Amino acid sequence: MCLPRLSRERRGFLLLTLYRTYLALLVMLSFAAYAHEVPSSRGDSSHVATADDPDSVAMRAYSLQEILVTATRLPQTAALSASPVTVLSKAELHQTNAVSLADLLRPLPGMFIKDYGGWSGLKTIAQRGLGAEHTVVLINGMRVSNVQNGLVDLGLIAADELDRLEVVRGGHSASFGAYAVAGVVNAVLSPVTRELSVRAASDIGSFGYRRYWVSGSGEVTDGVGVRAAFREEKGDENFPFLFRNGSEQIELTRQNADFRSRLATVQSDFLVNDAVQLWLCGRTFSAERGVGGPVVGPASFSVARQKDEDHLLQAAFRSPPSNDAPRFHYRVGFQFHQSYQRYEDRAFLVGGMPLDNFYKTTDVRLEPTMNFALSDRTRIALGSELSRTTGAGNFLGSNVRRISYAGYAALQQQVGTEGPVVRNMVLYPALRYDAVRTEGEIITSWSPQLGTVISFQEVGGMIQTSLRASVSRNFRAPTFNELFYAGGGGIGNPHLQPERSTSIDVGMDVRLSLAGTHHLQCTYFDIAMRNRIVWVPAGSFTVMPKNLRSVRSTGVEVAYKWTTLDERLTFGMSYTSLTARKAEPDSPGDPNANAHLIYVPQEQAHYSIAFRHEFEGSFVRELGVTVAASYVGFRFTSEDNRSFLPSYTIADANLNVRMRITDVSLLLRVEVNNLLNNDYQSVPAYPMPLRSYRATLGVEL
Amino acid sequence: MKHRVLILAVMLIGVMGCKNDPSTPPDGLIVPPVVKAVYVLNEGNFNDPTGARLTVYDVERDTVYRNVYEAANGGSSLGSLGDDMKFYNGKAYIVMSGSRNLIVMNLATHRKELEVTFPGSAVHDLLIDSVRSRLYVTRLFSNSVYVLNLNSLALIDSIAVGANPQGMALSGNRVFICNSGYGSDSTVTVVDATTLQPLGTIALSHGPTGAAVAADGKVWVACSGSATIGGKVFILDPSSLAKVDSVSFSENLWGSILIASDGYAYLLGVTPGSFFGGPVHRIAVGSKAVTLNFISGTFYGLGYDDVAREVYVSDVREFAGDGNVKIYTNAGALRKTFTAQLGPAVFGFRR
Repeated sequence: MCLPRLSRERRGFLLLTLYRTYLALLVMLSFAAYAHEVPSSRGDSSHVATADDPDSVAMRAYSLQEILVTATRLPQTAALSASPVTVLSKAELHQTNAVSLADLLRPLPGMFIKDYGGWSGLKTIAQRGLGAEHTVVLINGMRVSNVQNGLVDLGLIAADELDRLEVVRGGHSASFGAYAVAGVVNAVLSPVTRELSVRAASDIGSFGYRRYWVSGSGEVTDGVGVRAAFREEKGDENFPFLFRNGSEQIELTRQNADFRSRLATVQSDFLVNDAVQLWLCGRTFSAERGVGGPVVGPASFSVARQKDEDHLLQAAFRSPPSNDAPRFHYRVGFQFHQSYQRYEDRAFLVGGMPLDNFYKTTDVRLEPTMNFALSDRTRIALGSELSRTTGAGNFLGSNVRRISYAGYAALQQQVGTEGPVVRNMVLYPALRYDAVRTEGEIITSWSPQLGTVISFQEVGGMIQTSLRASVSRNFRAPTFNELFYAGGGGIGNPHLQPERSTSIDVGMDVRLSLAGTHHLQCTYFDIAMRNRIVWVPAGSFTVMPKNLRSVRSTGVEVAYKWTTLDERLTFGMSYTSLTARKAEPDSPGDPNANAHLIYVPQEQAHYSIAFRHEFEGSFVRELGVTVAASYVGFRFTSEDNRSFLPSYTIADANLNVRMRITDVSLLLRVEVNNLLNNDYQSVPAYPMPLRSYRATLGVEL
Repeated sequence: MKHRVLILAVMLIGVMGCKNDPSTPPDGLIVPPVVKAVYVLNEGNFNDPTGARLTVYDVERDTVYRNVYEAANGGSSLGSLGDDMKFYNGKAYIVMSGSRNLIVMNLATHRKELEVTFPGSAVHDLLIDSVRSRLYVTRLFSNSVYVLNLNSLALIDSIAVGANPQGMALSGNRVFICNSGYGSDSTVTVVDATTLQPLGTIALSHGPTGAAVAADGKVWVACSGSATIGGKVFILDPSSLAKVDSVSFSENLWGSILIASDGYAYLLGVTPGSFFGGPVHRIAVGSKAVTLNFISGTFYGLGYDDVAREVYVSDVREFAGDGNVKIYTNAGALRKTFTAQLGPAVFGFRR
């Protein structure tokens, strides 16, 4: 929706005035609601109630152990989400061989990771057949997706710094604005604990892999908790791989893929008063790595190097944690996020000068939000976002700036009454307004969403079923590169319009109590996108992004998990079948209309088996074994769908032993990656390692 | 326990996908012995290790053969990004910039006879000096040219030149090397073909990219131009290294230039709004009269059959699929079109 025709300055002023008015209203409303806060009552539809909470009809079907999903504006259990949700707890994260966020996301339904090889290679998300720029990545609930290029290198977010991972699939611009077209990923960092704990670990692995990690957490003074962690990771990444040319097969060694990274995080929280908790989080990351580049022949290797720096400072004033279900919760979040990336290739001389590109993006944002119960059946979330992002780089024409304002409202409304078949029905309408002003050009968007969950009465005391559906309008604002790129071979287009899409999700959840608990989640999705931005030829030796492509992505996602009664054994499985096509010709006579999009697997399956046993009073306290396998179907690599990368199956395994000597816990962990020693590629010409190993020795006080 | 095993088995089966991989496109038939044939070197997709393909058009049988090299070499491909191809003494010399290799292929059997790889910068253009049995190979991103033994491909020397060397021409005992700089350089380096010593550089216009030698020995150099300056063709005296004439264009030039036996220089322009070449312009070698848009269209590769007096051009269709080759008479009439493979870029004529 467009604003009335006003001058740019006038429109900007009007928007700013509206935003300030809205912000003031929001703050007043927050205090008003807080002033009227009453002790929580039973049946509060937001909290996770217990099964013996008879008035809480909406919730009683689900156990207290359900984790609240915070990657939605109205925190709720996965079972009550209108969109398919996957939550990985700390224990589940620990069962995987994951080194980074990319490894954690890989087995999830609808998810494909474009992996450029090894630990040091770029790893980007491709959810439901769309690109990396179509998924919002959050850390602790705040956006870290890069406005410069729309990407997050998932390999730079370490798995061991996470406490929980939440993935909400489907369009969510109504909650998170631009980029939330295919889904939202929220990486929640390990929290501050009040009990003193010190942990240290060291890893050694194939291809020169080394990691040292130490963290400590506790209450340093009355009411003030602090957690600090430091990690260093490095590797040579000179792994062997096979280069094939017809019947010829040559074993080569990956060149120039070494890496070294350092990560430090500090967190603190304390009560300012009974109503306010201040939470702080600082995270600084730096990496220096070789960029191995594509391997298209036995002699092709790169000498390019890349440096990354990422500094994150988050702070929030928020409601103190409480065991009672709060009727009112607020949070005023602030974030400073700076990303720096430099790419140098001294062997790539253009005009006599070696290639040397850098960019720095600085994003500052303020995100006040609150949610409160209007009644036992109604809960509302109101919030806003104000952000200022600046970009600088030697391939941008000049320094650029983006200011975004957004306001949103989300409602959770229980409708109807409990019947013999339907236990409960909840509606989730949401609406968000975004105004994105980039160098004077304003893009505005209204993003509505309507979701519903219908829970049915339990059958035979053992089967719980619910249906869910969601329909949303979503958008993506162009990145700085798409708007202003001025490097070699391309030129940005400052007149780009946002991509628009409609997303539909329909699904079913079944929970069965039989020899443990079974959870089956099935989802059909349909994403129709118009105005997709594609770089196309636009003059002599130049490409330029234009809004010209229509994309349709449809598919089915199935996730199944069985945990035995004694919780020693867990089976997990996911399956995705999708079709992502160019829905209309890019231009008249386009012979590839209706062709499959490239690099999108039409089929994926993952499964895992985890065994965990605890020993009472023994030196060995816990033993765990996990075996996981993934199948990734073929991916077309040319627009006319004549060439493709073959399907592959890989398997990983790990063994964990936890021992206890007096008050000291020891952890011994051995991992095998690519157990079957398969040669495969996720992205053409970027080899993946053959079988590799990693061993961890950890100590916890 | 039994049903645990059953579920495990079901899950193991679930790992297998339902959709099989597509069948690989069929390889080309073995090419029967050909007398008159046009070879088309297809670049292939960026990052495709086996993307460079050879298509052969048998002129007498009016038949097109695909994947000719793979069919004759047990499925092995040329490599990645086929950029130049030259014929000499029954052999084709083919260079791939992506995989940085040079292959010598027997034109009768299409089998590989020799191969050499060049670690480091991409190799891009070829020049054969049959008199001294030398082969020149430009190294696109390291500002140098390798000189190889034509028979053994052994490295003889490396010559430092200007930025991003591309097209080369040999006139007498002087080698002219275009320093394109992708528009940022404007010079041609001249090298003594006997001593391999640089004789100097000649300043021309932005982006010297292609070079050809006329019957009178003069060297024609096509400069692509820049974002603000149009293309230009310079005519150089190989002895004095002087610029004896020039022809200016308002638009950019693609860079390819050839001088045909019909007395014309053919070169490609740039279609506004396109990244994949342009129309064919023609310049009369004698009068320097220019025929703009002699053949309209957007063409990526350019060749000339001196026997049939026909112009060959390729339309890569923005690399979205197999490209087309069009054959025009030297009066500009379209005679035939056939489909080659992905990114037809270079022509070789076997007579």
